[in-house]
Amino acid sequence: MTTSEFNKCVDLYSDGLYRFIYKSIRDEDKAMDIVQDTFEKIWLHVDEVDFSKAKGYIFTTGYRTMIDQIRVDKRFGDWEEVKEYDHVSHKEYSDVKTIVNKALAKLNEKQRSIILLRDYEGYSYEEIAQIMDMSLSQVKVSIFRIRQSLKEYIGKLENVI
Amino acid sequence: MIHQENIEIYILDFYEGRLRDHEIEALMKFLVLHPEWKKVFDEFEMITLEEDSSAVLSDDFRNHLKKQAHQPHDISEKRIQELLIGELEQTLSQQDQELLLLLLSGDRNIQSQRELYKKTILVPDYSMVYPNKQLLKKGRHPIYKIPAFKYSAVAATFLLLLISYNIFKEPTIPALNVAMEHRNMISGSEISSSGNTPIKASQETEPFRYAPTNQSLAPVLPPNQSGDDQREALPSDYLYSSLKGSTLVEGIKPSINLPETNGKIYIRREHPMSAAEKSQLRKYLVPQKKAISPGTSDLRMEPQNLPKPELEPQNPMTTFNQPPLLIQLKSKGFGQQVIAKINADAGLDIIEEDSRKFNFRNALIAISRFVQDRRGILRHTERESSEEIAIRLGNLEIGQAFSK
Repeated sequence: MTTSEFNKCVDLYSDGLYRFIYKSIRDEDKAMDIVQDTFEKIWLHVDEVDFSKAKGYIFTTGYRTMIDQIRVDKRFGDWEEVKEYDHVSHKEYSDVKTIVNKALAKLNEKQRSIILLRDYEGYSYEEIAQIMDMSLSQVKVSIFRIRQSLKEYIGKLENVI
Repeated sequence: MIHQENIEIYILDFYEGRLRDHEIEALMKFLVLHPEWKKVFDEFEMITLEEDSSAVLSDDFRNHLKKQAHQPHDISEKRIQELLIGELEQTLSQQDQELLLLLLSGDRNIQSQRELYKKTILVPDYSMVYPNKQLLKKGRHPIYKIPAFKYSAVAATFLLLLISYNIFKEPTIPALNVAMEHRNMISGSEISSSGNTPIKASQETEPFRYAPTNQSLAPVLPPNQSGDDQREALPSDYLYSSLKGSTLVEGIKPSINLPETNGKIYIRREHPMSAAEKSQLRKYLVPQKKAISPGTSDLRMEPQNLPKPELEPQNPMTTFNQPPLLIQLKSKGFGQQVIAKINADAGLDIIEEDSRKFNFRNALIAISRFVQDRRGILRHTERESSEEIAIRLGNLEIGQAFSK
């Protein structure tokens, strides 16, 4: 990948990666750092990366960087869990989008990443499996359960509203 | 033959008109011989029930009872969920799609579940974009964009502004200029002033002749040669190993964080320092730490402490006239700090870092900006385009070197 192709990757994929990371960890600063670290890592191996496969490489690197960051933060005990939803009353659920976001926050990190890759980036099961280092069947089962879980959550809240 | 066990059947058949003539004749003979059955025969009436028009099923219930021609009757709840999710994931076969349509056509519960599943699809918020995209790019003339400074970065910036103020408040920067003069005399190469006009380095034998970079700010002053500073000098290879010609040496990676430096600032966060090197650095840092803030003198390296550089004539670093600086950034309230050394070649080494929460990126940007401003090379304005910056920086060879 040339420098110009690298820069093109920045244009094409940095926003998507940022959304993916931010939605996964819900920390703006950390998400920015992870995106930056990701592209820095990519740059170090820029000669080895084929431009046509750069997106997958970027998201794989981004996901693993995020996991590393989460592990480090958890080890040091300062990972800020998503607590903002714990005290939110149903009155604040103004629309479906909000409800879905709440439901998303209920998922664990891995589940969240899977569904974000699927819905946000439109990755296939095979690509998700590759990015997240899972088997194809694991991805399928996960998506099945995540959809069910989201549906249950949304259904319950809609009934309340 | 008619007898006691089948007489009722004959009687019923008679009334329903299903007996033939000889059977009717036999039945009449039997009734004559058995008067008790004659009485039953005479009293039998063909009772018919009239339709009760009030007892009808509702259409809904009737429809509910109806079955489609090929409707499966053994679909489990799990299978229905699979079909609904499969539809969402677009993984259904043609057969499964038809099956799902059949199920949906007759079951409101499944229809409502389908609607709920549709709502589980996450829609990206495209208004959410990575704010510092330009900072990630590589190239010769990246566009400078000031990021949103937060928290620790604000503290770092404030500290740097304070340092800048103290430095420029004084009429001279003797240590810096003397240091560079020292280098120039050693290398004998050309140097450029802050006005980008090349001047010939002094060939005089006097060791520390002052060569001001800015006449208005830096009048000629004798160097400090008192020798009262006993700090140890950094090893020369540490100071100047960061650049060799136009190639980055091992262990150093160009920073993508600092585009406003036109690629000239780099970070050596992962520099594998040897034990001896660390030891020397610690010795060096001790007096610096004690007096790091707020005085400007705390940031200088006295000329006698400067290592002797071994500059190559073709080394683009020779166009710069900045001695090393040591800068300590502290994040207020967290006790985290970054100690960075800005080298003569504008390279930036992170010497100590206790900054897990420290906004490292912003801190470095602040440092680099500070350095650039001091040199008068780059004073960014938001109105300045990347092309304008490129033109203004066009004669900076070191920028070209790093961009390769």
